[in-house]
Amino acid sequence: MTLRSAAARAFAGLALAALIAANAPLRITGQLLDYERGYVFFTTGDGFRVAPNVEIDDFATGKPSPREPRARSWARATFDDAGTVVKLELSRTRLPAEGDYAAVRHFAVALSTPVPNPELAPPPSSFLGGKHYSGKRVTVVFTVEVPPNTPSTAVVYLTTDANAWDPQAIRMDRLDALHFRVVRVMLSGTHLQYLYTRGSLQSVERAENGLDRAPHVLDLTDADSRTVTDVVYRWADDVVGGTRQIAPGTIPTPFNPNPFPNLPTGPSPFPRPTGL
Amino acid sequence: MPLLLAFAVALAVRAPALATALIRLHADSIRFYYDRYLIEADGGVQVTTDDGVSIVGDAFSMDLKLNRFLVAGHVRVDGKTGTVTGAALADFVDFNRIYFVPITSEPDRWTFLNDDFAHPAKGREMPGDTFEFPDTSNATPFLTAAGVTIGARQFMSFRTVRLAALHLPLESFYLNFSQNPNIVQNSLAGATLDLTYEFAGSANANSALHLRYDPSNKTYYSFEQHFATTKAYAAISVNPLSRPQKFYDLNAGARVTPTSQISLFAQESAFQLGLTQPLDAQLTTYLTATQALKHASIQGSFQVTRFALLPPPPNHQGFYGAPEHFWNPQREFFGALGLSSFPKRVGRLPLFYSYRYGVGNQNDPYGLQNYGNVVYTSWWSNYVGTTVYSPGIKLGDHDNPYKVYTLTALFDKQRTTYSLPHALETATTTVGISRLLGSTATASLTYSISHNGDYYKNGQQTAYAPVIPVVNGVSFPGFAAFQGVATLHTLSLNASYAPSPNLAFFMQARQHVDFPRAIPHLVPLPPTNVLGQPLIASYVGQPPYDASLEVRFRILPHYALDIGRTYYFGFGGLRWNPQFVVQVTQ
Repeated sequence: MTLRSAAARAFAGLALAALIAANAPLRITGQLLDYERGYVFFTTGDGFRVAPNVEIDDFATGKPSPREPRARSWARATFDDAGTVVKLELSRTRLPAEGDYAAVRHFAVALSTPVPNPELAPPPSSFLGGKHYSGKRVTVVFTVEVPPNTPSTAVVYLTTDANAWDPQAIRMDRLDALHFRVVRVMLSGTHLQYLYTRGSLQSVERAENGLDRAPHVLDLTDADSRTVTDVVYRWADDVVGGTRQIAPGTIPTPFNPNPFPNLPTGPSPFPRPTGL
Repeated sequence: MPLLLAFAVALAVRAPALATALIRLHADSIRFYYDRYLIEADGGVQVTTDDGVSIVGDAFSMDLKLNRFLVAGHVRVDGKTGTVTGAALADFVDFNRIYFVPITSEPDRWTFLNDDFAHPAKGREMPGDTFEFPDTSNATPFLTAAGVTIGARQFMSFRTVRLAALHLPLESFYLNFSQNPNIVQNSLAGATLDLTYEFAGSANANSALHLRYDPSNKTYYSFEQHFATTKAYAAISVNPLSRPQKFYDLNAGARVTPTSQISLFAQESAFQLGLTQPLDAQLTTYLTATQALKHASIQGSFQVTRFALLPPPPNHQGFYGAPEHFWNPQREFFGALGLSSFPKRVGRLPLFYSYRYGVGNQNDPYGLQNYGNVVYTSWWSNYVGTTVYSPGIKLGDHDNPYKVYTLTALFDKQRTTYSLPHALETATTTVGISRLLGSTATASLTYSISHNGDYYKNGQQTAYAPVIPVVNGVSFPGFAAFQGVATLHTLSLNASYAPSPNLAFFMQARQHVDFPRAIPHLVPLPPTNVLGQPLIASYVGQPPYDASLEVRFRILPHYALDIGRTYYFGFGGLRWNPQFVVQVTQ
């Protein structure tokens, strides 16, 4: 095949496609917001005139639809040259995108002249501090340094507003005596509030000054990965003298200075005197 | 207890209520998608807001995280300025913007700014996704309902509910998704499984029934009531509600000033059938007050126990019902006041230190200890302690996080002296090294020496007279060397492997070389909580070797299962810990 014949065939194909396109009816698919008073509305917010004798079919069967167009329905709309919808084919399920919406947008009816909305202008980079939120997946590494009095068998968790403050929502891995770590994948744009706990809100972290602290805030911007490093200064169940409060639900035992309470009974001071 | 309850509720309600916009929705069908925080509704949609606006339409959609909702199809809006009709309305609650597609003589586009319904901004351009419905075609709703009240960014309270997974009809269902952690402060003990049914609530309170299981109590019910503001909370519970041995718990706290706060935990333990007259009841109250200073904090801690809340038994037998419910009029008090410094860095070294000091008093009219033929009913104590630590020294290839070793070290020492002439000294030295093994695994090796001494002035032999234990006919004379001073050496290897967020393995293996040496069957395993987790990390007489394994995996989108168990390598014939640690978490 010569170059000349190939070009001629391509030209003929394009011409045929253009011819077909010129005669093809304008069609778009989309989800409906409403159908009333002679208009059909798509979720773009645009309303289009509907012909009085509009044909309403079922998309799957091609037969007249037994139900009316309504909010959430998917539909393929066919427009005439005047921009009036002459046919609606309805579907309960999402329809594949079809048609060029820009080609029909000018048919949308609106009484008022469009007015620019200054709130929709792209914010200056200073507004977001140069931050970008595209929703991409970001690997987030949380590393926390815990107080030196944290028990060697302690397990540390992250509790977050996204998990309804479940105090054992995200278990962390022990790195060493003072550090725990966990890796999560989150979407950029995530705004997360979180606290560290030892498994309950009675053992949640406290501020350096010993008072309840506000949750940490993670504002996740676009990045491949993000490292979050925090320090826990105290736990809520730390009390004076280094002893810990008894967890709710355990049977209360009085403060006992006996350092070896588990040893077998024997001479005083084991056990505490009774029957006095 | 009633006084404490009133005190706690007063704490919780003294702060202003959480301000929240209320949205009430009725519809033929309401669906809630828990994993996406979406509420979708169709048919006969009626929405009312707390600013007096009523909206009806065919369909409703709300993204609770974005805090915006959409009403579409034959929309009618009734407000203070009249009625308008149209195709759709979208309310971006956080931004005070309502976007509306009215149909007057023809369709139009209006924007109501800052709830000003009298002066719409006509023709104003709208965000591109203003009227988009979320795609829920492949999602299963968590529940369906006929009505819901939504507190924006706070809670939702459904009516006439059916839980989709269980096909379970419920009269109501409440869910809180507040950013205020105080609303989930709880007073219940841990449980292996806790299925919570929150049946009523608002932005500041909620009521919940719990169906629970733990190895001690088996299956039982509990009730809990929460109150919360941003600065105060109170949680009140009865647990187990369906067992005779009940715990009435109160957990409350409040920020009193910007630099001070108090917290309160009170527990009444009662043996009672149903809600009848208890056969015994005791109350323990812990009150903690914290005052922040510039470089330190002061904390007061008080504990009061009344072993008998009931009056003396009328039968003069000394008990109610049965001898095990003996009436014990004993009362105990412990109070302490302590100062703790913030950690301070030593120059530019990777070294920090803190110190602490405090005094305490303990009182028990029935006697705390008999020593030297003297019954001590009260004593004073004071302590001083310090901690020095290095949080991390990096060794190895600093450019490669997986080839860096991190060295940590800490030393803690405290001396507590008592008016009964003895002193407790504890000194703990820990050194550890850790390394990341790729992005999914970690390992660390830690060596710890803990020295615990109880020193009696001129009476060590009296207080700790030599004991030669005999276990199963075998005597252990070496134990007689123990005279109140113990040293525990622990080598610990920790490792974790988490190949995915839904699956993780944890391992801890320890070797204990202690003085006094562990003797099989002399010392029981440490007490555990209801889940089977030991309440103390290390103790005199622990088996020389133990290894704990744990696996956590997700069984449902909202539930994970933890299973763990400890192995003791045949010490005294003991191999596996009799108890698994099993817990279902969110």
